[in-house]
Amino acid sequence: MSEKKPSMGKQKQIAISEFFEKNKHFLGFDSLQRAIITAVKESVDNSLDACEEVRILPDIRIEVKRLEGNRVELITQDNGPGIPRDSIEHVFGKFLLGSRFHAIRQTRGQQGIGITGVVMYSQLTTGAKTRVVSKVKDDATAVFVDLGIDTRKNKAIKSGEIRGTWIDNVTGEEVDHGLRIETVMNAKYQRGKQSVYQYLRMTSIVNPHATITLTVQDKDGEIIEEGHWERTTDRLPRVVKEIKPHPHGIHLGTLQRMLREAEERKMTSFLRHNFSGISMRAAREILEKAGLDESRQPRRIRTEEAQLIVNSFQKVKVLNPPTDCLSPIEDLLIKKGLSKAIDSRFASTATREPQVTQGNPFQVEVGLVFGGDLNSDSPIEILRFANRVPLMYQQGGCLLTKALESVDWKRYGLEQPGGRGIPKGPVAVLVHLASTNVQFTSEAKEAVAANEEVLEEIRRALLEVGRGLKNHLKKSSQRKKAQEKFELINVILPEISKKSSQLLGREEPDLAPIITQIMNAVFCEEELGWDKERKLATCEITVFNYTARARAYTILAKWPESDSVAMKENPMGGRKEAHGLWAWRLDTLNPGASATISFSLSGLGRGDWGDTDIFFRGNGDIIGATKIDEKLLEELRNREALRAAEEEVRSKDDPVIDGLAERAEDPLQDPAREKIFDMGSLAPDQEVVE
Amino acid sequence: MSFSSRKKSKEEVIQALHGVASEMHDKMVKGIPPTMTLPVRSKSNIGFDQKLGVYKYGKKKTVRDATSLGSARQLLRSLHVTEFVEQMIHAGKTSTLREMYYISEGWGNGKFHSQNESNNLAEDLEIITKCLREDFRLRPEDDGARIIGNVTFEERNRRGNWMRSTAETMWVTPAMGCRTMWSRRNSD
Repeated sequence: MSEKKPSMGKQKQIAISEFFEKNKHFLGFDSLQRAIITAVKESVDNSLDACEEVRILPDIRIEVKRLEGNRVELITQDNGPGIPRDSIEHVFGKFLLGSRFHAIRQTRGQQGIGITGVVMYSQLTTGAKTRVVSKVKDDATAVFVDLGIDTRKNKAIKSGEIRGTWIDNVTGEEVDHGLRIETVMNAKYQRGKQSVYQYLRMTSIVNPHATITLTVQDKDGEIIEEGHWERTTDRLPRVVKEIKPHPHGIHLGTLQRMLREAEERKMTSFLRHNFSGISMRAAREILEKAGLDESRQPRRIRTEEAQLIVNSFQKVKVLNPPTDCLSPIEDLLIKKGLSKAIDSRFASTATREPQVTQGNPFQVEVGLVFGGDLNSDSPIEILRFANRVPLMYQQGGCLLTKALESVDWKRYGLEQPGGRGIPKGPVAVLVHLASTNVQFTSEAKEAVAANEEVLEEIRRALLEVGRGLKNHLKKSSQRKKAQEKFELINVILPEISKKSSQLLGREEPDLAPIITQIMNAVFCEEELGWDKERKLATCEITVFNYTARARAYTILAKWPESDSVAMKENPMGGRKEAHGLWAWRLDTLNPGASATISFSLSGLGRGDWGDTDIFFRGNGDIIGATKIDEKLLEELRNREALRAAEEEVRSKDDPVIDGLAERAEDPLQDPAREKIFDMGSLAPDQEVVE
Repeated sequence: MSFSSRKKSKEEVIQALHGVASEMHDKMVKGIPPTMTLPVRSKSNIGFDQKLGVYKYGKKKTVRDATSLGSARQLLRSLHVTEFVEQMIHAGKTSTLREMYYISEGWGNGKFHSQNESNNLAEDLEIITKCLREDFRLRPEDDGARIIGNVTFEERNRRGNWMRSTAETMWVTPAMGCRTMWSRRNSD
């Protein structure tokens, strides 16, 4: 769009307002209900991006006030770096100011419409100006200014600018840095699935580092809706790197532009310097396949020759683009984000390794929560995100939904009428697609376009969390059964014995042999708790032998071992079996006897540890625990040993080996970690993925 | 199997109920989970007794044992009912099924969750012990029992003459006598 304008020459330049008016459907302002959501979205996206750039934990406040008629006042405020006085007109008054438009990295917005659209929409529908208050840390005072847009010149009109002290109207304190936007527009605030509330709730899930507050007031100042989402982590998303384009995703036009602007003198160096993934060998091969001489000057390449290069890009094997341009949310934070927004009993997450499709790196993350407040009779809730931005419209036409529908959820314990489509149950599923170039079905960016490779990745991630869910359901039904049995033998049976003896005036019988007969199994019960005073997460594992024979076992438990989490108390001793897996050898358990293992962990918050897995080693099954897969355990240990060795080498500070180790880290570390935290994977009877 | 219409003596009822308790106790003494044996209550296990003109249970038996929480609860409940009936017999009191259900609220782990459960268990015990619920001192609530089918009544009218009436459906409540909720077909 921006490139077209200069070449229009004699033709009449379209006023930007006219362009806006005609295209408001894909700018997100096509209906009154959507306008307010889009306005909130643009301003929240800006706030989050700005805060991340200067590494500030974002605090965002949104106020919506219903006014007379269809008017709505929107106030948004953040604690970001603020905008220097001289840049305010640029940021709010110019369309297509694409600081992010050309860069190849993962960003929230890409259009360059942004907040200017909000100012424009407000002006078009109400004639009102937008008030901006901005405070930059280094300035002594804040800038207060009213903005309008000169639609002919694509420029902001400032008025009433003053400088002064900015006192926050909620806290009553002086604001050190931040930005506040007050605007009035034609819009309609509504509740429900597609609402500002839902948008912010979803945003808070994928931005666990942000605190977001929403208040909605009626005409008479009465608060009709409120939302507050506190941050669950103080860790900001990692800074994403900009990358060079990858040959597999390049179009002829782009290549031609790059050739024109090239400073290199030889084609080989042009290819190596301007693209990611092209080595000297690959560059030579590409040129050979295209029939071009290596020493040709890039600027002299003709169109037909450029086409030949584009063609040969596809024929030559090149390295994948680097993936550090992506910023995944990561398992633990997805879990925290989801449990903050949705009350649930169980959460399972999967972060896939980055992949590449058509020269664009992408990464898929999936989270699933189950139980709690979620409605069990209705279709599951699908939370779709692209680059940390919630997708709220066109659910049915979206690739993320299609991937979810392609899974046979019955196998994972959910109801799926007709064996296809969106399953039913008390479940919410989050799907996040991070990519340098998310392909949408339309300009409105409402749904992700079809792509086989992306679909397959999402599917695999969904199967992974599906296995977690299945495991959880199996475990809870097992636990329920065990609890029933315990109640039977500990409560009901003694009462039957007492009552019948009393009625008949006979002696009470010995119940031990009956209990053995009823249970005829070894049971294991674990209970996770929280020691409020000492801030320790506790775990108690009890093993009961209700068989007629003596049994001997080693019990293994999974715990969230990390640099910050440590075993605090562990009177039974035992030993470390692998990373995050502790083992205790139990004394022989005689029939009717039980043994208890208890330990506590420091470095965790309340509710951080909600789930563990118990494994055993020994003869005879234990209800409530899984037999450990020794082969998998062995593999796990080998990987760890390798990693430890690597760590040691690296600590010697040898730059060459440092690089090697870094490269070796990913394939080694991640599958192992994934394995151990993938619930129940240490069990021998693994389900096979289709 | 014969249901005697004769009213059983107190001792006979208590003995019959103790039979249920002693089946459980005997099993436990042998180190086996307690059980309760009752006729299968399905359509295939009833036959029509031509002589008496009633349906009767056949020979098929089912054993309820205490290996699952649900049936163990049932066993405990029958012991509580037994105890309750015994108390009533000794005290010379009666009670309605509904009253028993409410009283069962105090039976802790042996309490019923709905009146249906308590009604069914009372019926189970009737069958096992071959007693009638009246023997257990349990009477139906007013308006609690129903006879379906053609019934002929003879009653004396105000002039002192006997008259017969045939009803298609009628509700009988022992405490109140007849209620005129029946359609009179013919009266002669």
